[in-house]
Amino acid sequence: MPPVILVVDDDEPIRLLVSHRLESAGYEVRVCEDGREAADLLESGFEPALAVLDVMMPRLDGTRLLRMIRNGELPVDADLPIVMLTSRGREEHILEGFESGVDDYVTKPFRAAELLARVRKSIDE
Amino acid sequence: MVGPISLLGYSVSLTVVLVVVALVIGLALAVMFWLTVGLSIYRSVGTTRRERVQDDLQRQLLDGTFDPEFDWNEWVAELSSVERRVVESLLDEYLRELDGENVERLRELGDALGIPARSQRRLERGGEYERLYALTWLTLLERPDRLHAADVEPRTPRERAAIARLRHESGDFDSPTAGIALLLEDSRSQFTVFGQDTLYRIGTEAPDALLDAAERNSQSWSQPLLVQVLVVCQHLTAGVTTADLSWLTAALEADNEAVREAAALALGNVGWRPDIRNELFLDRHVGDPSPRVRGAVYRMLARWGDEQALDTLAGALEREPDARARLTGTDALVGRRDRLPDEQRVVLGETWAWSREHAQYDRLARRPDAGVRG
Repeated sequence: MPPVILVVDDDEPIRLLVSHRLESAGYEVRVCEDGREAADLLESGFEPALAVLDVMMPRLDGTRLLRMIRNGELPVDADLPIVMLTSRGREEHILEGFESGVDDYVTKPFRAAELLARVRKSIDE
Repeated sequence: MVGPISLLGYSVSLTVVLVVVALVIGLALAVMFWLTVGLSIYRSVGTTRRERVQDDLQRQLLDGTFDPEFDWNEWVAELSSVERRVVESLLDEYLRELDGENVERLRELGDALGIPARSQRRLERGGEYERLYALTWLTLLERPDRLHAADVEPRTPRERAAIARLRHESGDFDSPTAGIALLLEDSRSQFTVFGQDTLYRIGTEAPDALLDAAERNSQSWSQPLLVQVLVVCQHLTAGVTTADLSWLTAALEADNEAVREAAALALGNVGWRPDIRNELFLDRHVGDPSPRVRGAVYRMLARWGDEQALDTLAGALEREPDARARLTGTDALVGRRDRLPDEQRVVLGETWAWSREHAQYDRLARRPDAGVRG
């Protein structure tokens, strides 16, 4: 079974783009349109090998979802590898992301090959 | 009974007039109804046709983006006009999201679709909207050569900003100073938000050029444009040590309080220099008649953060009559001093306690290990 990756982004082109790239690389992908939908999916027992999260999303943003996972508020491994994919690319945003417990950080606009490399590295670790 | 009425020299029965008016109104309503229905059907058919092909085209476009062997020209040649419109719409989205070699592949698709040549024609012949549309595409495709080939001069602030953005994003300026000159030399009226963002992007790379342009031109700018430049100055990150800031201190004396407020905040960022922060200067501006401006001056002093500035700030807050300005000041001060002498703390009373508590909570909330949830 290929590893399953959860992609959470409210921007449809990004969801399609990331899914296409990851599926081409042999991963299985589940997509959610915002953090609330992702939290509900994780509540239902879904256990991905890694999550790619946007930060700014309606209903529940990526930072809050990340903290829920790290704080053990969802029935999923609290150490689930998480890659942030966001347009918040200033230094303080990146530092804030790492302080919140993210494993890796990719800023938009992004190189698909770089995202794929970071996903592979996070899963292998 | 109502008799006939006189109309253009003829005697006409009122009944006839009313019937004609009713017929005209009825006819107009019928035409509008069928036009609305027709337009709705036309748009619905167009949307359906686009939706039918979108998923397939999207998949093929992504395949081509990640496959360097994929021949865009061959693919584009087989597309119908509807499919070309869908591909251009998708290209517009993906050019904004991708970077590196992926975006280079997408730019090759833009060439295959003939977008640069079409944009050049729009620049040469179109109205403002079409020219802005063309400039947006040329920016996404990073094709300043088409701008030069069209040999156009900006006619409006929006076009000036769009041309500056295209040349900046494409690395077409010899230096950021040239970008500042294009944006600000000869400018009089304010930019749109896009223009201000462009000014920010270029200005943060060349702060001295921005300040120099402001020093030479600020007298001729409208107040909204001056405020926009001052707002950008609030966010300059590179050190500014030698520029002439007399125009900035002069802006603190402007009649318009929005200008004075923006000037104070800009000085907070770039103005920590002995020659402009003497005691007289500080005392005069903490006494500004506008509470909004005084609040900005308090933030300026706190941002400077030296002892003289903080003492001036603490002293001014003791005398501050406006509750909102006082809170702005204590919020700014508490970021620099977490203790005050007893007499000052008593005078500032609950305002100080409120600001201090918020600062403590803010620090706690930012600690990932603090266990704060929500």
